[in-house]
Amino acid sequence: MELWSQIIDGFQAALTPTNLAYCFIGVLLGTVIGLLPGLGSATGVAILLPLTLMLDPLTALIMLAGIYYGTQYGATISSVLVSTPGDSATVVTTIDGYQLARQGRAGPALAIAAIASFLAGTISILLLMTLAPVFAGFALNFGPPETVALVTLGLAGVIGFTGTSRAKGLAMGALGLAIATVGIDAQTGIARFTFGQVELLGGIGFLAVIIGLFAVAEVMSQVSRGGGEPIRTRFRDMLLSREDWRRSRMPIVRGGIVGFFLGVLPGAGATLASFLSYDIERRLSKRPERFGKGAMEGVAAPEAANNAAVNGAFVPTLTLGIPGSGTTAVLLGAFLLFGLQPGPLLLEQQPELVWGLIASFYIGNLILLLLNLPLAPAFASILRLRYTLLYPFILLLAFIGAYAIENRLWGVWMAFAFGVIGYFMKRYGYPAAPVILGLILGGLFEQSLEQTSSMGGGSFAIFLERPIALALFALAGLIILGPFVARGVKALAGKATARVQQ
Amino acid sequence: MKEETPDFIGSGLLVALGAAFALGSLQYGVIEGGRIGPGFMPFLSGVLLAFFGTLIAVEAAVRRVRRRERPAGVTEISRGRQEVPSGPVATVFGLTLVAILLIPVLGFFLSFGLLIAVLVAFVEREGWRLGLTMGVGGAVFAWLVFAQLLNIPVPRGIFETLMRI
Repeated sequence: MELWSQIIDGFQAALTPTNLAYCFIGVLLGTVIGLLPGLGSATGVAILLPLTLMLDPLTALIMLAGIYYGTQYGATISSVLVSTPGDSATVVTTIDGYQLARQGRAGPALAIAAIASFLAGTISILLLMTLAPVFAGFALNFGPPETVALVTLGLAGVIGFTGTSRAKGLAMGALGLAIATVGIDAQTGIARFTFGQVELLGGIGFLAVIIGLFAVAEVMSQVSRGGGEPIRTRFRDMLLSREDWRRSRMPIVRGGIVGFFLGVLPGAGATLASFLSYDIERRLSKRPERFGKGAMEGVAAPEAANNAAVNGAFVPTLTLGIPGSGTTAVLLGAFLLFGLQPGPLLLEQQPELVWGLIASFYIGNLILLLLNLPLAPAFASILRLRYTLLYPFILLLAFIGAYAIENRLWGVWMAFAFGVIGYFMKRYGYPAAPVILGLILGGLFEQSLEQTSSMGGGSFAIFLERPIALALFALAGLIILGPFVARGVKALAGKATARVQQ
Repeated sequence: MKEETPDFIGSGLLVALGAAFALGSLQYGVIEGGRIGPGFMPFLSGVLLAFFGTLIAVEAAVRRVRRRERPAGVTEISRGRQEVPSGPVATVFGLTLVAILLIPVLGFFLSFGLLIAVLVAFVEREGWRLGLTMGVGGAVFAWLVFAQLLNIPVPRGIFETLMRI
């Protein structure tokens, strides 16, 4: 009963005119940002985060979360219409979505994407409401050793955000941890690596780093690439046929469930969820040969999955303080800026904020559906804007955001410096999300490590007496070493088979 | 430049940075009185950075060996990195740097208005009229939204001095 009353309170908090308005602005901006190739959800949230600092924390978080799931749908529009995914989670939608657009069925493809997102959003929000208190209740028993293990698991999970090289992902996580040590040590008050610079005493602010690594570096990488020409499609008929709906309904349910649980896992995220659900549908289909040639379920399933994964990613973020995706890592930073520490106590201490935010996801999904069904053609016309005219404005927004963090030029310089670093990282395949995660979790990691060391009288053998911590460490080890072991076993098995055949 | 060379350079930089953090941390005390000191975390992260940095070089070396072992005529499909011409990027970075340096003199909006105008007109070759329109439009829009609506105290440079006079 208490849960229901908290949920109702959450809806009441989310349905105030101000919060409703900012939710609308968030999903609208998110859709536009998602449409623009190269501007992902993390970048969108990074650029607009400083501008929400003057808002009430719940209002700001509602808007930022709106941007997050709004970008997912915006990215779908550009995937379907110009075969250019605005976000990695919509790459797989491109396969069948673009084929449908070429067959003159862009309208139904976008409609099923909006409906799939909404329905999967509904399923996953129900799962989120059920699972968040369970997670938080479980994590309430965590002490410093478990926190150390949990942060290690979160950092191990970052390699899921990364591209091809695990070593690069892990190195970037370590770089984030190293950067987090710059400034005054919270325990002893000793200034570390400040080189006499007053500005460095407070440490390197993660927000300026986020703007630099995501927004500025992203723009620079896109410079001179430009966007493609949109294909001309008529949007006269946005209505789905009965056959389209019949083929899509079960993939939506399956995609929603798969997406949610993959979203919960740190590092797995929306991209993996979309690929996996597409694969599941292809395997289950009676006519798998239609996939890749314009199958409606090839759009419905991944769209349901990536939207559900967004909600799933909030479970570890809100209840454990460990982000489930790159964008929730940025959002975790937003919580900290507002003086809120996500973790098991957040649900207990700030129930209105947590449930208000979760309720806003539902409202935001509804707004997204109402907005996108009739307005998809209007959004699509944004794709006609040339990137060469757009990026100077994105730079302006990014640097003004960097200035607004503390109202001083230091933030602008930091964003510029990390923009240069981020450009080279991007160019040579070093992922940015682990740096942010390391930087954000570094403080908590160090504090918990220090407390664990005190608990054990200077020894870390205390970890051996904590089964949950050991299990979390084992899981982290499995994430890092699992693929290497699997590859080794496969190679050995291959050699053995070859020998037998000889 | 050979395919793996950037990875070797990146690895070298990360190992050097990791070593700098690890060595620098020694002055703060890694272990103090049997407990971890303020230097422990920089030491640990520095060592991890150097270790994973080394792994990057190992990965690149293995890739190079495999590439050499592959029979002639077999080409690997590149998995992703797209080459970006560095010329325009260097120009955009350079111009952005100039705009930031000019903020104390010209103020935020004029500096970035000029940046937009120059980028659109000369770097992207869209013509000076469009450049000027977008520069002025961008500066006025930003001033209205950020200075007037959101009350962000953005540096105004000479305008501040002029307003005082």
